[in-house]
Amino acid sequence: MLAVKTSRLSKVFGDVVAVDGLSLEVKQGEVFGLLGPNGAGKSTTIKMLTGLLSPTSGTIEVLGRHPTDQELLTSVGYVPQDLVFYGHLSAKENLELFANCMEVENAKERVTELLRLFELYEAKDRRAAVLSGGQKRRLNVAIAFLLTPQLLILDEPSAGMDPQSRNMLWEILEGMREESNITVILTTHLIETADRLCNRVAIVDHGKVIAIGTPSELKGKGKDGEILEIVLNNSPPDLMGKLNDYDVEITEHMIRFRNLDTFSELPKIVEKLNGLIPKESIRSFNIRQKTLEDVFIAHTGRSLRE
Amino acid sequence: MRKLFVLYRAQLLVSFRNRQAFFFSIIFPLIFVGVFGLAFQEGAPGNSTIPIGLVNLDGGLPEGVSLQGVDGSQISGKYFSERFVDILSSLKFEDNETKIFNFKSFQGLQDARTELEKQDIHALLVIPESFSLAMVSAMQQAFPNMTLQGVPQANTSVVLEGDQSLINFNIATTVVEQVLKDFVKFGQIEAKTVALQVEGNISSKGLTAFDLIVPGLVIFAVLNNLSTVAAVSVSDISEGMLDRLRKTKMKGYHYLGAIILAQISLAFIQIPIMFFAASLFGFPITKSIGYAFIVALLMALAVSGIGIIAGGLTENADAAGSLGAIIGVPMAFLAGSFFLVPNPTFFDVGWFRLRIFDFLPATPAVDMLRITLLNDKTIFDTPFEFAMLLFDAVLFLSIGLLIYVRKHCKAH
Repeated sequence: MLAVKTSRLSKVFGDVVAVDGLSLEVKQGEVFGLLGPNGAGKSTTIKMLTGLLSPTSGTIEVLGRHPTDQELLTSVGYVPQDLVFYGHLSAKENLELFANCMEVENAKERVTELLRLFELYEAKDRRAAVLSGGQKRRLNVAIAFLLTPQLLILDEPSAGMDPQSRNMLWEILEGMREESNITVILTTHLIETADRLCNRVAIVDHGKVIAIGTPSELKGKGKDGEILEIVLNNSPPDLMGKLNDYDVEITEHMIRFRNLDTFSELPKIVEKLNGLIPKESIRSFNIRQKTLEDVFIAHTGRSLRE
Repeated sequence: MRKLFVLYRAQLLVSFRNRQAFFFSIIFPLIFVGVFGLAFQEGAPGNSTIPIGLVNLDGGLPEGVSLQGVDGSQISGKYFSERFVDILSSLKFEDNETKIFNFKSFQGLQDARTELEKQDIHALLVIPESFSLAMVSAMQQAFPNMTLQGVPQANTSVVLEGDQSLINFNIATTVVEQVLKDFVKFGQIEAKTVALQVEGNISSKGLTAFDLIVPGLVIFAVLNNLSTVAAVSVSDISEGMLDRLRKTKMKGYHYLGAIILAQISLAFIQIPIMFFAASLFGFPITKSIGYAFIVALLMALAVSGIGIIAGGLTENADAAGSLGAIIGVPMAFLAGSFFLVPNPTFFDVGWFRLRIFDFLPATPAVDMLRITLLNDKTIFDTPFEFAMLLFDAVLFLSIGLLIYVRKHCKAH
């Protein structure tokens, strides 16, 4: 059974097309990432999945229901991108408020449990407004964990988190999935987040899916999944038409070969460059696995951070 | 019910922990009490006689018509208007033998107005031509079986002219208004006790200008919460709190109910604090103070409604708070909280007069507080003000809820 299914989903705000014919299928139990730069339409998609926004066109099914179905209130957890809690209430008071609104059983025990799990117990009586940035982020996420949902939707959960808090969150998420096999949909513009957590990733730009698959599939495995970067001390000579056999990008101080099986191709490349570039102008060779950032650049010509 | 309670508790805590909101709700009105208290508690105009002009245009009862008083005397001619002026003339301050009014009669309006402009008199009372006829009509309304042949039905208004920025004029207005109110009841409760009731009510008080201002200050304090309601309601939207709460089992009525309950609680906390502070400057605390809580309850409902409307018209908390202040402060002034402001008539059929600012909740609220607190009256003595305040509260709350639910409680 699918946890989420969208079909030709669109959302238009005035003249701006935020989401443009998005069709997705998220299987139950998987961690699905929406990866894209700011303004790609990720948050708008999330708000439509949670029923907070109505689509301009297209259809959505969440756990087999319409997103605004009241039955989903207890089976879908949602972490908004912004910090959403009362700054004048303490961490504990905020959790208790939401626990009561969610009708959580044994609310007090659950609140205490989450305060400890998210390492907020020592700061539980401090007003949320004066917590550290990492503590605020953890509180923002902890609220969605008051219930154990079937589907957890996180909108940029790690934005603004320090690495320690981020690791803690990922461990909590992984632990939760092991316990209850929940489905997780998260949006992020951080490659590491998508790479580490997601079973499948949809790369989104301008409201459209431009690539979808497992991180390994997207990056390409083995034979053509590597990148060779040759860093130069000065600008490379004119290589036009001389490296046509390769997927190559030439910048001011770098020649980048993509989609390589470096082990077998490297000697040939060295031989080819031998007469073209003087040895002394090569500063370094760098061989690395292709990242999702490379996939994004390959599809859009832009970096995720641009 | 539990969700309503926890949201109410949260709203109340947010209001009290928000220093800016706390300042505007509690500290700011207290500063006003202190300033007005220091300025007007002593040397009050209430201790000195107010020169007042009189133009009595009363045409009296028609010729041949006479009534018999309880003492057997014949009542004819200008009896009613002269009696009315007699009562006003005899009023004295409680703590000395000083009369409240010193009347100076004029034959024509022009002369009287010239004196008024020169400040030789501080108010001008104009009794209209149909005053006696209107009094008989009032008696006939009170005693439907009584008919007086040859006396037509009439409605009229007594006019009090003067400079509204003068404290003496404000005092004269309050006193004349109260005496007239009791005088018109003369027909309804028979004549035997009227004179005592009027003199007892008015001359039992040594009202200072500060005493007249205190009811307005209390309403001003409640109105100051308007900015907080507007800011909270809009910040919960713009910062995503309402969306997040909507993804719980909370309903719109839980949230709005919590905001309204928090405002009522805040108003109930403000009332004793304000009156306690006012009492330090000599404001008399009477048993009528209990009615202030009824007024506060209705004002809090109206303020919640207007605050929610303001929240619905703005995009962020700062703009909403500013709009709340832009609405609340002028409303306090238009209600005559600090000094009397002209209130143009909207609808007048003689026995029922509706003024434009009566549609602003602060106006009937201030009037109700002045009448009940300063004259030891009950809420049953202010049915019109009570009805208008209730109407205003229901009207603004309904509009506010309608806007809020339509705009913010559905997916867009």
